[in-house]
Amino acid sequence: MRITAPGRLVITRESVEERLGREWETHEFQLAIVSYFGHIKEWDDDEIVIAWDH
Amino acid sequence: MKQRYEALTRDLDWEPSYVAKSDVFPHTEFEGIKIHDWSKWEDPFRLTVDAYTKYQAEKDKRLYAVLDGFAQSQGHLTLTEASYLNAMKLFLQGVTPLEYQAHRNFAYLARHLNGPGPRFAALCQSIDEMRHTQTEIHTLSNYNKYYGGFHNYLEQHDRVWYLSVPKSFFDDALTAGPFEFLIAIGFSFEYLLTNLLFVPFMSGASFNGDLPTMTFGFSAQSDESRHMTLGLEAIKFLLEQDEANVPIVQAWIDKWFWRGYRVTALVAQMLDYMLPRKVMSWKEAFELYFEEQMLGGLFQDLAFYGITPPKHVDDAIAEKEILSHQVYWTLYQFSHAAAFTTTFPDADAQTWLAENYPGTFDKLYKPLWDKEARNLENGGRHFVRGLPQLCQVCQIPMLFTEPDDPTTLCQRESVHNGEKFQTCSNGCQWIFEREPEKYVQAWLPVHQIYQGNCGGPTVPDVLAWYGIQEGDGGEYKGSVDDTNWKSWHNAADHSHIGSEA
Amino acid sequence: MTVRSIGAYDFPSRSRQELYGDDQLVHLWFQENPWFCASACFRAPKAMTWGDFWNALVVPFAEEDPDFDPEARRVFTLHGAQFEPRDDQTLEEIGVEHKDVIGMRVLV
Repeated sequence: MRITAPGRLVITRESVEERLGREWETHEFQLAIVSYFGHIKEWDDDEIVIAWDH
Repeated sequence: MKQRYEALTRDLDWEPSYVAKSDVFPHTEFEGIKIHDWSKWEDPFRLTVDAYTKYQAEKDKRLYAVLDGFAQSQGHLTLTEASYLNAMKLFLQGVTPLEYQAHRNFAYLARHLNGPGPRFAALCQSIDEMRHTQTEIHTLSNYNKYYGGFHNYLEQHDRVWYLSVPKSFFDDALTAGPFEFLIAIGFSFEYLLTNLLFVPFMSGASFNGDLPTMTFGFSAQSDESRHMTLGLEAIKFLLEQDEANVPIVQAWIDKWFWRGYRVTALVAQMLDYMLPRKVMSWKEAFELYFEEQMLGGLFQDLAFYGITPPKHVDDAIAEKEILSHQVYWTLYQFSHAAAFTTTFPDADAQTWLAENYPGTFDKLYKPLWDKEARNLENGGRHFVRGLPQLCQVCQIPMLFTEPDDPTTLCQRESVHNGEKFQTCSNGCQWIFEREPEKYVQAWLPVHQIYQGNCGGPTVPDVLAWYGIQEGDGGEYKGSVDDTNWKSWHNAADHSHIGSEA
Repeated sequence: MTVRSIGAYDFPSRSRQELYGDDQLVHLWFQENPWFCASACFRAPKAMTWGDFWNALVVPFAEEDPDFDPEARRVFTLHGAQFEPRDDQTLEEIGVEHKDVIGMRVLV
C-alpha cells in the first residue's frame, strides 16, 4: 500500500486508535513503515507530520 | 516524549572542564565545516534507549518467526526458480558487508560528533546497521544449505573483482572525515539512493516467492526511515549553521551522488535481467525513486539553501535506457569468474526488455544476443578470455559509453605525477581529479592480479584465492543449482532434498 | 583541490609502473565492436615485439569473438594519432607507455 499527499501528510494518534480500536503509540508507526519519501518534520506523542520545510 | 528525550539524551551531556573541547572532539574541524551551535540539531524521532530497544526487539521477533516457518516448510522450493537467488548472492556478497562497515562508522560518529543529539542518532543507526548485518546473514544462510554462491561472501567482498565496486565505494566514505561521511552515507546513500537501491531488491523478493528476504528487507527499511531522517537533518543542519558550508556540502553531494549511482548499476541489471519474474524496469524505478522523488521533491526543498541537483545528474538520466543492458552483457561474459551465474535471456525475457526499452533494446542489444544465440548453437558460450580495463574510481570495467553515443565506449584519461589514470565517465574523472592523491591508491583487482597478489597467474589460481567453488559461477543452465532444482521438483520422492546425491 | 586530512597525505600509486618490473600494462580498445564489453588489459614486457604482442596476447583473447578475423585490415591509434605497427618493433619503440590505451578498428 502506498500513500501520497501533496505537500503535507499528518498521522494522528487519535485517528489511528479510532480505526484500530486500541491504544496506539506513535512510535509503533516504525513497525509498519516500509519506505518513505519526504521530510519527517515532527514526531511526538500525538502526531507524525511529514512535510517539506521550504 | 519531548521531555523524556531531553532528559535521557541531551541532558546526559556535559561541558568538559579540564580538557579542551577540541581535544575531546579532534576530528570535526579539519574538513572546513563550521558549526556554531550544536544544540540546533533537530531529531524529530526523539528516541530514547528504552523505546528504541522495545521496538527493535519487536521487529526482530516478527522476522525470526518468518525465517523459522520458511525453513521448516522447505520454503526455498516455492521460489520462482533457483536462478532468482543470483540477486540474493549479489546482495549478500555486495551489500551485507557494507551494513557492517556502516555500523563501524556510525559508531565512530557516535563518539566523535560534538553534539549529544547527533551522537545519539548515530548510535541508534550504528546498532541498526549491526542488526541489518545479522538479520541478512541469518536470512540468507538458510539458502546456503541448498545453493551455491553463499558460502564465502565476507572473504569474497574483500577480494573479488565485481565486489570491489561496492567495497571501494564504502572504503572511500570510511576514509573521509565525519561530515563528509554524513553526506556520503547518511545523506547521499541513505536518503538520495536508498529507495532506488533497496526497494527493487525487496520487491523482487516479494514477486519471486522469497518471503524471508522480503521480511528482512521491510524490517531493515523500517529503520531506514530514521536513517533517511538523520541524513536529511544532517544536511539541513550543516547548511543552516554557516553559509561557508554550502559549497563544501554541494561538492560532496556532487561526488557522492555519482559514487553511489555507479554502485546502483548492479541493481539495474538485477531488476532487468536476473529476476525470473519481473517487478519493474530499471528505467521505471529510476524515474520514480530518483527523478520524481529526489529531483522533483527533495532538491526543490534544498534549493532554498542554494543547493542544486548533483553535477553529473544529466549523464545518469541520459543512460537510464542503456545502463542495465550494458552491465548485464558484461556480467554475462565474466560470470565464469563470479560467485553467481548468468544465462541467455530467453524469448519471453527479450520481449519484456523490448517492451520496456522500446528505444534501445531491439536496436542496440538484441543484435548482440542474436549473435550469442548463433554462438551457442555452434557450441560456444561467451566468456571473456582475459581481464578488462577498470575505472580508477568506481572500479567497474570500462563498459560505459559516451553520454551522447551509446555505441562508443567512454574513455577518460588524467595524468597525476606522470602516471596515466583512466576513468569511465565525466563523473568519475571529475571525482578523480578533485582528489587524485586518494584514488591513486585504489586496489584495482585487475592490476592486483597482474602484480601477482591474487593467488597466481591463471584463472583457476585466482578463483581458488577468491574461494569460488564448482557450482558458484558460470552459466546457469546445467549448473549445480539448476540441476538440483530440477531434480527436487521433478522427483516424486522429495526425501533427498538438500542432500548431494 | 586536494584531500583534506588530519595529517600529511602522500601515498604512492598502487598501479605504478615499477611494480611490474620490465613489464607494463597495456589496454586494447576494440572500437566499433560491442562483443567485448570493455577494453582489454594485458601485462606485457616493454621489449615485447608487436608481432609477439599480437600473436601471444591479442589473438587468443580476440578469437573468442566468432567473427574475429586476424587478417582483416585495421587502423590502430595511440595518443590520439594513427600508427602502423611493424611486427619487429617493440612496444617501447612504438611509443606505448604504462597503462596506455591502444585503439583498434577493423576497416570495412
